[in-house]
Formats: sequence, structure tokens, C-alpha cells
Amino acid sequence: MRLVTALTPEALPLIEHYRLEQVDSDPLFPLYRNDTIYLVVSGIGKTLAAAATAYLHTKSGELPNQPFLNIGIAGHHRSIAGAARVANRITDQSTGQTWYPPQIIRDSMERSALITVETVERDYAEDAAYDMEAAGFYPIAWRASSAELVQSLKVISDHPGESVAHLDLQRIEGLIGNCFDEIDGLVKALQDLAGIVVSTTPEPYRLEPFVERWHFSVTQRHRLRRVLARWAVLAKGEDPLTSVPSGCPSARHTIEALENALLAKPLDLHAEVARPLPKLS
Amino acid sequence: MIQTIYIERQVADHPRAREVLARFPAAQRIDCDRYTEIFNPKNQNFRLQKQQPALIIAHKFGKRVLSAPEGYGIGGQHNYYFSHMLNCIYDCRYCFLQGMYRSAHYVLFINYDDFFASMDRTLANHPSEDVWFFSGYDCDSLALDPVTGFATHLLTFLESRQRAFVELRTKSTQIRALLAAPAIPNAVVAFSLTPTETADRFEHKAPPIAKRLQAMRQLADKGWPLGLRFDPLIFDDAFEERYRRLFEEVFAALAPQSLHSVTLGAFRMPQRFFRNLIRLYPSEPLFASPLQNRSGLVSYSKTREEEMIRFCLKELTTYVPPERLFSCSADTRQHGNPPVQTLQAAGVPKR
Repeated sequence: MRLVTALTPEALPLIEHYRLEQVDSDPLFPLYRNDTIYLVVSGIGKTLAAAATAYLHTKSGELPNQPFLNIGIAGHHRSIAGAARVANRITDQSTGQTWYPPQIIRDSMERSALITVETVERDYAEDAAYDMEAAGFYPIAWRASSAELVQSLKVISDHPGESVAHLDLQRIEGLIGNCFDEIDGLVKALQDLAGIVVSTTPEPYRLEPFVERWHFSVTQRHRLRRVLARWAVLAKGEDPLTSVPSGCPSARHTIEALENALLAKPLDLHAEVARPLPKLS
Repeated sequence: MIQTIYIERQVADHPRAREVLARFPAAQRIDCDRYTEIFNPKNQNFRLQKQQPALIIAHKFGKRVLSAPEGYGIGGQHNYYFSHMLNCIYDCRYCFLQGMYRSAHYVLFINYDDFFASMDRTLANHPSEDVWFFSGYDCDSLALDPVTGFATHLLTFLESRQRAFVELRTKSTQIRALLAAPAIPNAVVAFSLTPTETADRFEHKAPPIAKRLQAMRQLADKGWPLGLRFDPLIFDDAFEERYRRLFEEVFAALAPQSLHSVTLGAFRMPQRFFRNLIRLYPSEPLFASPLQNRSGLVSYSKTREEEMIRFCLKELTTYVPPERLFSCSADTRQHGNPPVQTLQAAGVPKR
């Protein structure tokens, strides 16, 4: 799970609840983590949010299909201070570019359009939330993961009846902390969703025992990888090397031996497929 | 069911869009300019979106009726297809839509009249001749009909155009619109069927085979011409036993006279789509089973495919006259976008 906040007061309730520890003493962006969750504090604005999201992805191992969640405060057209809203449309006000985070998670949380602005919003003209980071965060996180796993949750801090000028760091921390249950619910739902993708990839057989014995061209390596991937599904637990005759003369013959061995195996597509447990990081 | 509805701003006031929206009062509504903003972007996961697909209400621009590939048909000379919807409410593991589209959201094009106008123009291009229009390649023709109401509009259109023949292909039991209308000879309701165990294993969320047969009987009783689509045929070690039982089950329920056509086709898919499917379902034994790339199409070996088709044809000819039987192969279809099958009369061996 990868979390992005703009301000330290937005991050503090999350650091405390998830028992996150700072990773480096002198980082480009403050970075915190536990076993399954990383959090970066980006600073204010979409450029910093984009940079920090990329930094977070790199520092957390560049793993595919990881959930990303942008958490922070936002203004809103309506007087709903303290309410949490998940963005269902993110618009970069300066460019007009719009993204639609897929709404896959079934929960009771309210949704809202979210407009990312360059300077603090005081007019709240549209029926939407206003922030300064989501349009920087979203396209980078989306590039690093899959659209369904990238979401933005905003806690409404100001509106036409309650100016942003009244906000202080303590109030911000309180707003996020008061919505922790909603935040945590979304974190868990995103982790579960990511688990669907992560948990179903079978453990591949290693190529090394083969490439050490025979010379494989680039194309043959692709074929070998494919047949070993099939082997992992159809002959799980069996060592594929045992199906290759010891005197096999070439890479081509090796691949053919593996393919023929698979062809000779009983094929029952209707048997229940055992699913490994989801991984949550 | 549907929790999110995206709607193009230009169709927001369309009466049909309002009707659809009214059916889902609890759904969140999100306005957009074009459906492609949601449907087409990269880095979407079809499998994850299948957890909770949204509905996108849109206007179809450009070509609405497309030529079917050369040689495609079930007896007609002029063959076309159209898609008033993209994607399907079912989740069949073998479906090419998972590999073709980046998004699992359902797109509903609500300018039905424009589809019918395109069909009229196509008919005008073939004066005095019959023209076939195939529905149900990019979607299930009937599964979402209670929401879209498309079938009723289509049947009204067809009533006064006797040269226009339509195949509605479905796994659905949503046949109320058909049962409420008088049967017409130029609309064939074609049901896709696989053995019960195969349907249970691969056709998630689709009605069981017994329910589909029940729906077919109801339609047959009302005089609707029916089609049977054994496509895709899926091989495993019990292939012959399963399909023999399926045919027994089908023809115990249906009189052969009610059948307009029966088609067969082994599992096959453009390689690009197949690669996407493996990415989505890396543990799926179906995709790890012995398949070959035959000129860009992933399918069974030619020998295996011939054996499968030969077996099914032999079984089926005990029930159905050969002139109503059609089969297709990976070797006889055009590559590119679906429809993926090229059908030939089984009575005229193609190889």
C-alpha cells in the first residue's frame, strides 16, 4: 500500500495508526513505512505530488499492481467540513485534463468530483472538492499501477462558509484523524483488490537450470518461459527438468520435450483450481 | 447491481438515457465528454473492473454497421454486424472481450435510431436481396435488455423490413420482449451453449444451461426461429463424453424443427487478445492447455480442432439436417476485430 499526503499533519494520524517508521534520515521526501504500507509526504502542489509519488514508487521497489492512495484535506462547494469524499473525477484546472478513477470498491463512502487548483481556492464555484495535489498524484500513480488501485480521498476542511484561513496544523491533523476509520476502510479495500491480481500469479520455474545446459536464442527463451509458465499451472510441483532426456541435444529439442510432456499429461479443466492466499503488500 | 453510471453530456437529456438512469436511482452519476475517456485509457485491469462494472451511456458516432469478414454467414450472402453495446454482464473466462477491451465497463449506445438508419442504408445497397445483421459479438444481445429495451425497438424495425435478418446471440434468459411480441421469421435467437460442467466452470454469472434451454423452449413454443451456438468448443480429456451429453440434453428439450441453424467453433482467439488474457488470469488452466499460434490466431492444433469438429458434426447430424449445420475454424476466419468466426456449411467440407 502506498500513501501520499501533502502535509506532515495529514500524515501524522496515519503514521501513528499504522506504526510507520521513517525510512531515511535525509530523504528527498519524508518517507515512512511498516511491513505493508509506505507513506510519503510530498509538500504542497501538484508538481511536488507527482515527484513524490514517483519517488515513493521507486523507493518501495517499483512493484506492479500496488494500491496508491492520496489522502489530504480539500475545500468544497458544500458546507460539509469534516466529511470524507473519494474522488470519482479528477480535473486539473490549469490544463482541463480529466481522469476518472474507476469506482470498483463497494462501500458507503460519498464520492465527489475533485478539481486540482494551482493556488488556494476561495470561490468554490463548482459542486466539487478543491485540492492542490490529486492531478499530480493520479497520472503518476496510474502509470505505476492499475487505474482501479489508484484513488484519492479528501477530508473537507473549508467551504464558502468556513474559510481556509481558519485552518491550522492541529485542525488539519484532527480532520484526518477523525476520518481514520473511513481511510482505513479504503486502505483495506484497496489492499484486497490488489490481492486479487497479486495472488493469482503462479510461482514460475527458473530458467537458469535450462540456460546453463543449453544455448537458447532470444526467441527460444521466450518459448521456454511460456512453456515453463504453462508447466507451473498444469504440472505444479513437478520438476520440468525431469521430463527432458539427459542427452537432449539442443534448446529446441528441450522446449519440444517440455511441450510434449505437457501434451501427454491428463487435462481436466473442470477440476477446482487451488488459489493461493492474497498477499497484502 | 450497477453502482456507477457515466453519461456523456450530449446524451444526458435523451429520453432513453433518462429512463436508464431512473432504473438505478442509487447509482452515482458521473458526467463525461466522451465514453472513450473512461473506456479506452491504458493501465486498466479488466479483471478488477469485473468486480463492479459501471455503465457508460454514450452516443455512437461513425460506422454503426460493419461488414462481416469474407465468408462469414449462416446461409446468407450479405453479412454485417453491429454493436449497440460493448461488453457483457457475464464473465466467461474464455471470452475474447477480456483481451480486446481495456475496460470491463458496459457501454450502451442509446442512439438506436441511428443504428436502424444505418441498417436501412445497408439494405438499400442490396436491393431485392436478403441481408444478415449479426448482433452479439461485442456484447450479449439480450442480457441487459430489461435495462436497454433495445430488442423491442429492433423487432419493431424488423417487422416492416422482411429482407433484413438479424441474429440475436445470447446466453441470457431475458426474453420477455420476445415473448411479448409476435414471432417474426427474420429474427433468429441464437443461444450459446457449452456442457453443464463447462458452463459452471467458465461462464461466471451466466444462467445455467438448463435455464437457457427452458428459455429456448418458451421461444420455440411462440414460434421464434432458434439458433444453437456450440462455440467455443473447449477441449479436455472428457470432451466427447461432455458434448455427447450436452447434445442429448439439448435435443431432449428442443425439437429440431424449431432450429434455424446450428454452428460449431473450437476455442480460438487473436494472439494479442490471448496474451492479455494470460496477464489477467495467469493461473487459468484453459490458457495453459495445448494451444497453438496458427497465423496470429491462438487455437487448438489443426488435427485436434478437426477431431473436435468432426466428432460434434457426427453427433449433431443424428439430430439436425446437414443444411442447418455450420462450422468454423481458425484457418477460415479473417484476422482483426471480431466477429471472429468464418462459418461454412458443414455439408461442404472446407478442408
